[in-house]
Amino acid sequence: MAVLAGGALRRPSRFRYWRQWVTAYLFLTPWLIFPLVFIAGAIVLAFYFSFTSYDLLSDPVFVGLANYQKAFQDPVFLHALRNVATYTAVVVPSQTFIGLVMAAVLNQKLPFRRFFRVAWYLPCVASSVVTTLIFMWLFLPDGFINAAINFLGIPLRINWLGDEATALPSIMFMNIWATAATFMLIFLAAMQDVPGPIYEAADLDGAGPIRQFFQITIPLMRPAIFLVVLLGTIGCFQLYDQVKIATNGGPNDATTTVTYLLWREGFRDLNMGYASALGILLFIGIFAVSLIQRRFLDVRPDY
Amino acid sequence: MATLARTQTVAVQRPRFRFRISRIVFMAIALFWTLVALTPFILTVSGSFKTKSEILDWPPTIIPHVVEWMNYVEVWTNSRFFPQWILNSGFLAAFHLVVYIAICSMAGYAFARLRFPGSTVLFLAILGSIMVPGQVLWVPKFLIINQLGLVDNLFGIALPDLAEVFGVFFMTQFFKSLPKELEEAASIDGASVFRTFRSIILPNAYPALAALAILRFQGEWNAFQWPLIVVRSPQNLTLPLGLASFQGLYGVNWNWVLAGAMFNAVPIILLVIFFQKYFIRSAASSAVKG
Repeated sequence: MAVLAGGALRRPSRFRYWRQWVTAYLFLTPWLIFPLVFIAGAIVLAFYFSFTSYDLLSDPVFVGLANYQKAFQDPVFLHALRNVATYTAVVVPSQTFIGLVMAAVLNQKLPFRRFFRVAWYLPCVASSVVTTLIFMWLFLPDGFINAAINFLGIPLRINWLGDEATALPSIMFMNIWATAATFMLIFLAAMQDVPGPIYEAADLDGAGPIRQFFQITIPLMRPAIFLVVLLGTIGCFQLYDQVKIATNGGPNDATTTVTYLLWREGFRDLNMGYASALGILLFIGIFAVSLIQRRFLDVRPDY
Repeated sequence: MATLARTQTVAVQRPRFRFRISRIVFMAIALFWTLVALTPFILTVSGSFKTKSEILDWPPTIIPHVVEWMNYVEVWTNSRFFPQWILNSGFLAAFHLVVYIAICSMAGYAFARLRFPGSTVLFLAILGSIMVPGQVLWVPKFLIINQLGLVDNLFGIALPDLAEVFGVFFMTQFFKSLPKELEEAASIDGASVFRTFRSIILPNAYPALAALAILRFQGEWNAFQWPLIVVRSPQNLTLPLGLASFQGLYGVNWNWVLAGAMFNAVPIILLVIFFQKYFIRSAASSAVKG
């Protein structure tokens, strides 16, 4: 009976299967051509151009690994790597910590919770251009940041973005302010997934809210914490907008990052080959960090 | 008996006492961060109403002595292309709201419901492409649109941006969550796949489409990195690019820069206030699942 039914159905079903995949590709193609050209094709081109010397005007010349060798002898690139490392080392822990504290606060049944959530989230949705312009203005020698410091009784007039020592820290501050709430939302979602009965049991055992937070919430949120650290690190590696708008890498390359150098080499100096190699190095760096952190990310909470 | 009662009251009271203190601490942190998050915006609003001389005052004033409405008029009229920048950004956002939403909901439907060879590999490849940082693609994408003759053209921004992967991923997840019975009934009635998609699936997908539309609007309206590479002439700039160029041109006239920034920030802020659920849900889901 089953064999008979299968035999009888085979021909129409094969036809229907064929028809379905044509339909599927008809649904897919209008979108798929764009990633095929602008992601897949572009990746292939990026690899190809990273082995060439190309200035847009004359034909690309194959130079092997010369661009990669050049990168590791380029003092500006090495300086940019150091800037990015410093920046990441400060910004990732800060935004993770602030995000966690903010999520813990929002997870309480405080009055005005909805208002707090919107207010805190605003810095994340305003465009990078707007927030950077605002902070450039606040950071002026005559700006509000110096005014606030003077108000506290310290007579300082710092040119925050114009001074080599303070330019990068200023950008760090700006970005922690702008991104902390994104990570807060991830933490908040994870906190709300922690099953309530665990807390009830802890209550019965006499554990206070602070102990509950450190001994229940934090351990159960390990996957979320690693995710935030990963996303934060990737974001830091790609730091660009604030540097491009506020300092143009200056003063004296104090805020030059890998992505800013990529832009400068590719689109100001037209070293398309070298810029491609910098891009591939950035890709490798991000990929390596993700692989390292994936090991931790796969950790599931055990309850 | 008395001791038992006493230990009981102690046991009940101690957590309550702690709870109150922690509540005050939590509220204090909440108020502090609200101040940190909102102060720059509030100062921007006040700065955008200051006169040219007052904005240079030391120490800076928090509330302007004279409210200078003209900043908003002057930013519009003094730089010839300001209205054009708003139109350009509006065009980019509108183009993506129509075209991107249409093509990526179709692609999402194919991944969620249709069976075809290569679907798993393709989906994994698309997921994997999230790993590629956008800056790696700047040079090759620029060379491609240079070949297509789209440099310094708004379509040079709009078309490569359609490759954005997140929307397809988002729609696929959403369509997978819809009950299969919806389509089964339609296909028994003899409706074609496209007809089912258009008249059964899409009407049930409004919440997801709305969330995606809001995110895409924000993405195109605020876009900076890729537009900066594509367009050069002043009449082709988008609003964020125009504002960034302002700061070089009118470095001293911060009252204009701040008034101009309001035109970019206010639409987004209104969107967040009215549609905060969409923002927060999709931001959280994109991060956790992506």
